[in-house]
Amino acid sequence: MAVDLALSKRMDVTGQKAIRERLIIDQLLEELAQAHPMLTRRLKEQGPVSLEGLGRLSVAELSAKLEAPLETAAQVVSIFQGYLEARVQRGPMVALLGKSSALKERLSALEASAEAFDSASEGDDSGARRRTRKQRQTDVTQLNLLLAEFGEAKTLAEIERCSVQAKIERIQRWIGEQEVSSVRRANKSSSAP
Amino acid sequence: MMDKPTRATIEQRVKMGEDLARCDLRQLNLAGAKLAGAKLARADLEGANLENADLAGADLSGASLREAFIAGANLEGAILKKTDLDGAVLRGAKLKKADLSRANLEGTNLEGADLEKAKLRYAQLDSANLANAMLAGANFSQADLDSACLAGAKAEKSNFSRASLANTLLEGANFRDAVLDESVLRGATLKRVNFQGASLVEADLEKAACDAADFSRADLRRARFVGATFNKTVIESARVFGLELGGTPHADAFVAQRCDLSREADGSRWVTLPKFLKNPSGGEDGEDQRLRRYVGPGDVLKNAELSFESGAEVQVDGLLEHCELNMAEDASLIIGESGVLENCRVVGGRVRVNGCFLERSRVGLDGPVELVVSKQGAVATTLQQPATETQFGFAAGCRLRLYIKEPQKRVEDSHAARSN
Repeated sequence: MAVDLALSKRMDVTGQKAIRERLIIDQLLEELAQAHPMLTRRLKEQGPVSLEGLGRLSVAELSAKLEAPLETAAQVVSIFQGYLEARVQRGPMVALLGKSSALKERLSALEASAEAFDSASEGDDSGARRRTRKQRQTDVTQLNLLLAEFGEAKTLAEIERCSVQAKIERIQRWIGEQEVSSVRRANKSSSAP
Repeated sequence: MMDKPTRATIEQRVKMGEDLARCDLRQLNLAGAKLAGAKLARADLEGANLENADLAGADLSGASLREAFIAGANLEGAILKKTDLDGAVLRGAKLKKADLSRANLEGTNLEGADLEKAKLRYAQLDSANLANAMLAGANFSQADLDSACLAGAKAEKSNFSRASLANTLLEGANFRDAVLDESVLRGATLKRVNFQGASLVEADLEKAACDAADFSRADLRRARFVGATFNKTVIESARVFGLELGGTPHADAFVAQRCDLSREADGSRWVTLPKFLKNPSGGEDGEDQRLRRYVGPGDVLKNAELSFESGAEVQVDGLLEHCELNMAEDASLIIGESGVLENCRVVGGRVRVNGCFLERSRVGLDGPVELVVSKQGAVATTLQQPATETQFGFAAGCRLRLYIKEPQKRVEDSHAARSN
């Protein structure tokens, strides 16, 4: 009991981690739903899932768990394992560069794909429209994933209800705010005795 | 410059029954707003937030709702004709009996939405997400649903005739008793789809994945399955006349005790699965093939003189112009629903008209043993009865401009009697 009282702050940190993990899983399931909506539904119906737990599952295990063909299970595993591997590779880059830099990178990718979609929408090529729409959606998911990693539940909920253009504007504003606050923090620490 | 209206003023104006046509409401937050019966034709609601809003019976025809967030909104009976909903989120929205004819729903998220009995004729739904949506009794005829997702959708008794569903994902969907005649399902994933009692006449299912799909009692006449994959696909009591498989399927491909191979799907020709698989393209033996002739939709035949022997069966779903068809007494001519015989003369035979027979200037039907015109059929000609008299059958609703001449023998007899 004494240990529990002593680790109140640490428990809060763990709680934050759980929130972030929940947000990340939601985004990854959203990505999966684009190709396998039924599978996503089955996964959700299985109850709460942990990122590590999903990442550790073998293709055969997942196939049996979801009653899905091995090929489909492999795709699901690759989404979760792929994400975990990418995060490991990235290492402390986000921590070093700061949230704004990481978000700026993903935002510029989204801006480019949104522009490509807008130009495709003006034409009659339905194939081009389909491709650019898909790319734009992928970039939105990638951006959301990063916000999920940052634990930005409020921002995520807010931009979910926005059009892509409004999303871009909102994130630009968010980056601006982050930069201002980091400058303030830097000034505060430099002026400190 | 006028200020952009606020949520409160909009609600007030709707309450007063004011016409808000062409209003600029872009990016406005109208979540949960009470807008039932609102007159918003051609209004600009691009990127607006209408989450859980009440828009029942609202007129949004021609309005722009591009990328609007309309999740959970009530749009029952709303008019959304030609409305632009590109990229909008309508997750869980209630669209029962809504009119979305010719609406643009490209990339729209309609996951779990209720579209029961909604009208979506000619709607654009390319890349739309209709997973687990309620589509029972909805009309999607001639709609474009290419690359859309309809996994788990409940589409019983819906109408998808002539709709384009190429590369769609239909896994686990229920199309029981639905109409999908002449629809295009090329490259679609039909895994575990329920097509029981559905009509897929002349549907194109090229390269579709039909694993564990259930086509029991379905009408698959002249459907095209070239390059499609089958695994435990149920075709019990399906109507399979003219079905095109484009190859010999493996042993586990189909599950069925028997199939109906009759042309009219009237159960007059039941065959076992092995017999059907022996010759899936037509299911007819050599003798039958020799006696059967078919003029397909789009085929045109002009100035031809054709003779058909005893027992022959000719079906015309195309166009015959200025042709002469000499039929043996028990030969049959079936003019299909899309078939037209214009300025043609048919001598003898049994004639069944589901399409059109038009020959106004002379005797078009000379001595038919039988003339049956279905309710879709139209006949405008002079009919000369044979000595044995023609047997007629006219369904209610058929269109006739028919001059029926007495049998010639009797006319000759009456001449003889007069001269005597």
